[in-house]
Amino acid sequence: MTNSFIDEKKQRLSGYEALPKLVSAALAIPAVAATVPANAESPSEGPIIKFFYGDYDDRQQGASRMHVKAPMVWVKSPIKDGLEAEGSFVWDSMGGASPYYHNTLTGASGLGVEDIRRAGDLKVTKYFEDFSLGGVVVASDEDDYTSIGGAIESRIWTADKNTTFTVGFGGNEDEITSSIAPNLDESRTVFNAIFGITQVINSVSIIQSNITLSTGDGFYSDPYKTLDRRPESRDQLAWLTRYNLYIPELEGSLHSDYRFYTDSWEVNSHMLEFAWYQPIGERFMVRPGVRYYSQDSAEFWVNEFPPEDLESFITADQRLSSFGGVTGSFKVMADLWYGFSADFAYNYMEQRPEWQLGGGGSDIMLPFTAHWVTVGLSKQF
Amino acid sequence: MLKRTNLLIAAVALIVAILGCAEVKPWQKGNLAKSHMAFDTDPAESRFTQHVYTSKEGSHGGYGIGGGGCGCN
Repeated sequence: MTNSFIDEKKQRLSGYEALPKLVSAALAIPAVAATVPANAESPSEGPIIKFFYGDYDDRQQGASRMHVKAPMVWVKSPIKDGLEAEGSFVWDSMGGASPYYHNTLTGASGLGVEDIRRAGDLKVTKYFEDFSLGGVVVASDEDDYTSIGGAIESRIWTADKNTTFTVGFGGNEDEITSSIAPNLDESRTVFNAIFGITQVINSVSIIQSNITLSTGDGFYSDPYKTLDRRPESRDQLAWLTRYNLYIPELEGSLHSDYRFYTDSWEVNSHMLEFAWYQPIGERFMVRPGVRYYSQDSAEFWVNEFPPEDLESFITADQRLSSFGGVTGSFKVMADLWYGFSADFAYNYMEQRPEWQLGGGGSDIMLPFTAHWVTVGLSKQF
Repeated sequence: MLKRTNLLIAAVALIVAILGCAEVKPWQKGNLAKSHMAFDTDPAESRFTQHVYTSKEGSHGGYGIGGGGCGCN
């Protein structure tokens, strides 16, 4: 928010180019999650640099599980002749353990882990009169997981800039090893695509709808979990629709997001999120938000452990069970002086099987809570 | 198969509805240009937050492409 907050003073009536655009996993195999944002029709007006720190902690049965500290630097800058560069680098340090498998097997999972992850991404975009063309490279490295990837993306807008189409293709190659299984040396290849449309509806609202598709082949099992054996391919579809509405009477805006997801493992999910941006005076803004998430379990998720059939695909990973989750968040942003701005956010998330849409989640799973705080300081030149 | 057909119908219906919107003139876009009307108001925060969800949920996607692999899911 902060960087765009500074942009407020530079807004122009001629367009809506003000639409510019990690914690690791439960175990030691997380990676970068940077993505190519999906809109904007011109380069940013000046360089922006942001220093960011995220601190994440999760708990189960009153005990702390995983803790991640993630300092990050993010930069975006016009270069020349319609070229723009954007990149980030994050240095995660993580420690702790994954969620328990089942409440009957407390302690069965979550071998203690300490790891450092270094991840970075760089995107270069060239803007033309009616379209843009961008390329991004990403890389992530830690003790037992390495990922490299890239993507190209084009955005094409109509002459009035009321409609923008997005299309992009990418892929990544991951290498997976294990600190507890020295002979493990596996890989995974994933290809993905995005098709999107952004439309100005009227003078106070705008909508964006993206469909992302991915198909992956390779090693998907979790080497740190007992009897975890997953299919060696996964096809995924996510359909995200976002609607922003400005309320002139309050001078604030409501952001409403809904995402439907389905995949070849029969995981289906729904995500609904609302956030309210309220400027306060000339220099401050607050953003309360709430998010609801619900998913079905993967078809090979087992309720009994150990399962009777040991030959089939098996997982007891909490993240592939049936559950629902709620997140509440609050963010404060301040526009300081000389192009500096600062922000602070607090987020609390809780997941429970009975909160799955319609009830009837994987009730053998334990409730899971997490909270994270973020602090940012940015400077626009 | 039925699910895919329903998805396709919904996608086409949404696109038709979106493209049917009234034309908005450049001088009518002042409110849309406000910083808090952007879809991604803070890319650094978004990356961190989305990775939290990617790590703790069984699904992800929709926001863009070009992200690195994530063995956590």
